Amino acid sequence: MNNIMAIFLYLFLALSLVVAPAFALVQETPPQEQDDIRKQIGTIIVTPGAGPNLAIADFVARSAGLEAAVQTFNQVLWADLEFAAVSGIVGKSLYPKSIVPDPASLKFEEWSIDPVRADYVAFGNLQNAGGLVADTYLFDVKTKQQLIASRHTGDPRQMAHEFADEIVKLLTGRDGIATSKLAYVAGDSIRLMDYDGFNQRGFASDGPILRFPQFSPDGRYIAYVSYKSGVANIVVRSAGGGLVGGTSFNSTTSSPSISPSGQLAFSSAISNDGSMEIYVSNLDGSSPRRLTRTNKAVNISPRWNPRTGREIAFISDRGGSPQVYVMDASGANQRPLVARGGHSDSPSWSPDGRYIAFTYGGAGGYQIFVADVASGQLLQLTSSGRNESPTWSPDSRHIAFQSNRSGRWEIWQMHIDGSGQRQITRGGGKLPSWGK
Amino acid sequence: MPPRMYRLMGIVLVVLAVVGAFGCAKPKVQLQVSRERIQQGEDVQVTWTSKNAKEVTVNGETVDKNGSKVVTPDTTTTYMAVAKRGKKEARDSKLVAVNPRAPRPTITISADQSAITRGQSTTLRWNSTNADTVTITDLGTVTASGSRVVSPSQSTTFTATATGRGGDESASARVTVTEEADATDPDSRPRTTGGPNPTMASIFNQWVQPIYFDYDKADLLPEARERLRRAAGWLTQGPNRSVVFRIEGHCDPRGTEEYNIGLGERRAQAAREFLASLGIETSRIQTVSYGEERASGTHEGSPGQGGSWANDRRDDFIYVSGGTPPRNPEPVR
Repeated sequence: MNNIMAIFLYLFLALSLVVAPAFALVQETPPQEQDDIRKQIGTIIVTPGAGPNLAIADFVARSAGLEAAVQTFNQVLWADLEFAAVSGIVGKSLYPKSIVPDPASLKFEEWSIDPVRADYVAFGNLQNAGGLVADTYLFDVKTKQQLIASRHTGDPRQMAHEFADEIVKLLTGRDGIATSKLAYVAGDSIRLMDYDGFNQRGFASDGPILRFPQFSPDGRYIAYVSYKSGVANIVVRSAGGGLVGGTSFNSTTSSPSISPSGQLAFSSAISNDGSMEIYVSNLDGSSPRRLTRTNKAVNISPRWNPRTGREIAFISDRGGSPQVYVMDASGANQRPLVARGGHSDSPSWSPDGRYIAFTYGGAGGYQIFVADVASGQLLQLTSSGRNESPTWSPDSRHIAFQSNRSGRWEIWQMHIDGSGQRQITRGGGKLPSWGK
Repeated sequence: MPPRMYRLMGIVLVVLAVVGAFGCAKPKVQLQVSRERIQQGEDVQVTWTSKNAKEVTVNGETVDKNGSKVVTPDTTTTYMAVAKRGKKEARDSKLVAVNPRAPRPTITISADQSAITRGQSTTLRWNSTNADTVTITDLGTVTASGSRVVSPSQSTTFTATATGRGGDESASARVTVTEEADATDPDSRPRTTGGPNPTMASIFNQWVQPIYFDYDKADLLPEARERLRRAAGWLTQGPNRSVVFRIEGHCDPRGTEEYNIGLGERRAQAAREFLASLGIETSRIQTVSYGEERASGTHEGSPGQGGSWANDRRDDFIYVSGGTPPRNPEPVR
């Protein structure tokens, strides 16, 4: 454990050294803008060689007929830990030949010597014991200490996700994302899927057109827009599907967002004075209170700060073109986050409250950018195709978004620094919201 | 040289000859595969090396003594190299396990009538295999196989896409929609109609017609005001005063999805406000924005021209309820 504490302390020190001057300098020195935020974000994703080295030995089938399950388990565990990017992962070609189904078969020196040089090794076995069971282990190769010995039951994908999250939690002290899920739009219905695009399943199809799903920060609720009555209105359901409430106005009401304390924010034209304005209400849509007052303007895409619940980011074209604004949850102190012309849309606040990702561009060409809320510094994360609707992973280290680079709208994912971009839907998908 | 040496050399020669004739060196062979487990359709490199072999075969095929080849086995396959020298032989083999690929989905779709007159309907029928989800243009996600009655207001290509673990497949059926023979009004164009009273809806559509906007703008153009004045004239006449309707704002697809919901609503609100100024009670008007949901534009073009951005940037007017249809409906100009 000392080892991990040391790594943490190190990361923390490195981060504070990079971040402190960045905050002090930004306003005065725009040319360094990109560099500072890049450095700051660069420490969040561990690139091979920069962190501890993890070896993931193939899991071993202890009962007959488990080849497919073991193969799935191995693939999922590897993909989870690779995307988690909390350590280097030693390439399989360097591993010793011996199989490691249990701690008794682990020969530490095989994993510590050149060229393996693993700091940690994960291994275990799958067996049939009344149902599928995975015994999972993580050892510190140098201290020969057992760090994890756990047992999982059920579906091989789910067991691998759970073990991956245990490893991430142990190495970083923070919750992993392998068991998280995404809500998204496919066709005209709202669907759910595992964070890696598997297990796609229906969530809601109670309208001719459903759009803009948003998870609550605690993952308990999903709000979305339905055109069931002919007019776009908001529906709120529990993540289990039960109806909680919604709006039923005679003018477009769209872009729901749920605060950590369970308040709803949305954009609506109910004032009927030619503008879309931002409102907050109870979770079931009752007692709406107006926050913005503009003249013939669009105020849309409200998103609560999911950490504090005290601020709301939104889009407004009151200054001419749509830009990202931030205001207090009372409606006070409305100010642009960044002002640089062009069109911005769909801000998304990271769960740790530090960053806002959003779509930025001009007619037809849009990319995902991330802004440091404290300094307003920007970093461009995508450059291929048209990219919109960013949403953050629960650990604030990854972003899912929609891209048309494959020829149609599909959901993609990337790390917070723009690396590791991968497509996770194949049958079409857009408007993702990442939930716990 | 002493005679003993000749004898020794003789023995050596005999031994060499015997060795030459029968071959003393045992052949050796090693075979390696780049991957022992693949998905169907993936490649594997098979590499072999031999020593002292006269002939080397891999799975019965004579090959170079050392070499490699790339194979794409469809099923789990054992690759065996055999090295022969005379009667001696050596073997080495490796198993490549092939996970069968999920079968590709298939889909077919057809329409009972491929050409209809506006207002008529036809039945779409589709069949799919190996699909997890099937989606059809305008219908969204549907059952794996089935049929649905559709009444498109304009010519539409219904594309059915089957998505499964083995990939995507699409098929299309086009339904051509023609105008009624007597619809000579140059302004009449394919329209969405709704509500319980089709006669009232079609009269409404003749008097209350779509209006168009400039890019990223919600200001009413002069032609739009003209159309709205004509609409207001009809909406304030006799029983038409009970007509309730909806204004649907639309945008071209060049903006972003969420902001366009706002822009489309601004367009609907602009028409609502102008109609209110002409004496239409706002309680009769609903407004909704579809953003770029129904945009189909690929070029600027002109208002009313299908497939143009100019056509996408519009307000549609949808009859909801009210009014009394004339007893003998006449075509209204």
